[in-house]
Amino acid sequence: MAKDIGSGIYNPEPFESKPDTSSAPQAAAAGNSAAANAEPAASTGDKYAFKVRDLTKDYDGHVVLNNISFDIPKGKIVGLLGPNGCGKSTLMKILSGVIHDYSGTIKIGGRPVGIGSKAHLAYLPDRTYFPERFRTIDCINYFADFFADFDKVKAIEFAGKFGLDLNQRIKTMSKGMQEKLQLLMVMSRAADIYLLDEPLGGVDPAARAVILDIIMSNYKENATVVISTHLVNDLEHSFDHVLMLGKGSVLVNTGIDTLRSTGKSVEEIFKEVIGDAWEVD
Amino acid sequence: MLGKLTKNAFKSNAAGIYNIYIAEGIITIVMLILLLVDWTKWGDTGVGLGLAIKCIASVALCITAAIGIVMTFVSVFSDFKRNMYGIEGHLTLSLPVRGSSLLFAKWLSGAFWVILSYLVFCLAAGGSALYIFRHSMSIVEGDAAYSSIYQVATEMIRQLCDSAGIVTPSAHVLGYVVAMYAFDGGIRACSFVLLVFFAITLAHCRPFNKLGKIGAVLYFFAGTFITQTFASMITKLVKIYVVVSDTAFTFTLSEAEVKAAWQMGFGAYSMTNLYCTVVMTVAVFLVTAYLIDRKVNAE
Repeated sequence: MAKDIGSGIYNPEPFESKPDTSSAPQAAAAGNSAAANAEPAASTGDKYAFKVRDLTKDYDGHVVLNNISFDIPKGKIVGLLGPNGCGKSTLMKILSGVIHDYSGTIKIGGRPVGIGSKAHLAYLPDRTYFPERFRTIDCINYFADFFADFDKVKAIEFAGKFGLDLNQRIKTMSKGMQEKLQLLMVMSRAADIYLLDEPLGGVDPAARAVILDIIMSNYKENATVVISTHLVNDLEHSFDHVLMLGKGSVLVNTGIDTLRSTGKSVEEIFKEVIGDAWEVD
Repeated sequence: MLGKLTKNAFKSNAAGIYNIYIAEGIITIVMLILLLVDWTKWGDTGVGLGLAIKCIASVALCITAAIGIVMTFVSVFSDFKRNMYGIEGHLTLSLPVRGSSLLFAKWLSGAFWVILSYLVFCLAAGGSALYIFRHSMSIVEGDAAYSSIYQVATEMIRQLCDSAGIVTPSAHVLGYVVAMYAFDGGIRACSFVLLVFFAITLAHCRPFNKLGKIGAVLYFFAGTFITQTFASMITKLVKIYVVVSDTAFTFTLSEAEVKAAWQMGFGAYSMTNLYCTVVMTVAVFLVTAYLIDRKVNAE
């Protein structure tokens, strides 16, 4: 149940789930190519980046997301906030199609989770997901192979800008370099939706500013950017919209203006709302 | 997209396997040198140290090839698990491609490497068998009697057929029979690889993930038991053979004709089990692709 923060509380209406057939014919016709899936998400005419209904996910009976429902409008920078273990990463994995074991219905840009949604969604997990044997250039070529919206030239320029040797292997990179590489790969895509899981986690404050700058200056215009973090203070000025999770529920889902109209900062509201929500049911 | 997936799957497998083949190549060269050296020039009588070294080299070559098979299995299957359901799965499963495409690319690559490891083993074991046979025959009949590999192989097959009580087929028929058995072996290798992929995939689906890492092993054996039992039942009910003669391939349902064929110097081969294997492999593929699209969870 969402907490009543001004008029920002959202009361979602149920919708019917449909099988992922939206991209199937075009993908089949074009040999399942990335280009076949490159139809803009906006073409679905849906005004929401995400529509989630009755989403429940548990790990061996340990409920992480408990029947949550929410909508996120398109074109917003969304802060996905909550204490550790509240289900932020799980939610991102579900939205990106990495986890299938859940109940409920999800629509991303009007499409169910599937090939169609994945073609328009850039996902940055909280760990390095490239094979260790990959060099920087291998990562770039890999993304160029599979994502029609990937800008290879931009990625190579990025790599140079951040001092990443194109021939350096990932296993020889520091954690910070790996994170930078992964972020620049994701931000070199002109995706409709970016899901960034803890992009500031584990980096020093100076690097945070750089990473934040990369994100804010490189996402596609009118794209929806979801950033999960518990470092509210560093990011609150960037958010247009806030989704707070805790105790397996949506505690807040509202625009930033609504939050600010309370006269409190996002961090203050975060502390107030999260309060005793550190425990997961 | 399938081509790109396959290219990446081959690269991924090759990265884990190429060192095995480099090691095998080096050992093979060393063993061949040891086999080809004329030890009599070093004072050996032909039945002492030189022979011992040659025997050890032959056995070592076979053992190396067998280890190559095991290491190829481990590499292919661990790569599949890591790449699909480990941390790399966060990238793989978020690609805008179908589960069937992902699976087919991995399967193609995995089957290629597994079949290659089989072939290397067959070459090593076959080569060693030929060498040992030639050596034993040359003691009886002298070196001049078997100057070429073809002569050695022909004589070895003739003696094997004699001991089995069948007429030695002509080279033409033998070639077809060997090709058919090789094809059968290839199909079974592909089926085996896919069954392991299925077991690993099932072990990452709820509620089958409760057994942890041992789950994939159990599901593989359960899958093998079910498919083999089913194939065996069908094979007993429907017997289809193909008889290979010098002039034609003939399908028959009669076991008597098959026995007669072997006595006449023809080859024969049971098709039912192969058909069953192909049908069940297709079914396993479809189920696994469905699981990848709808049920699996990356770790």
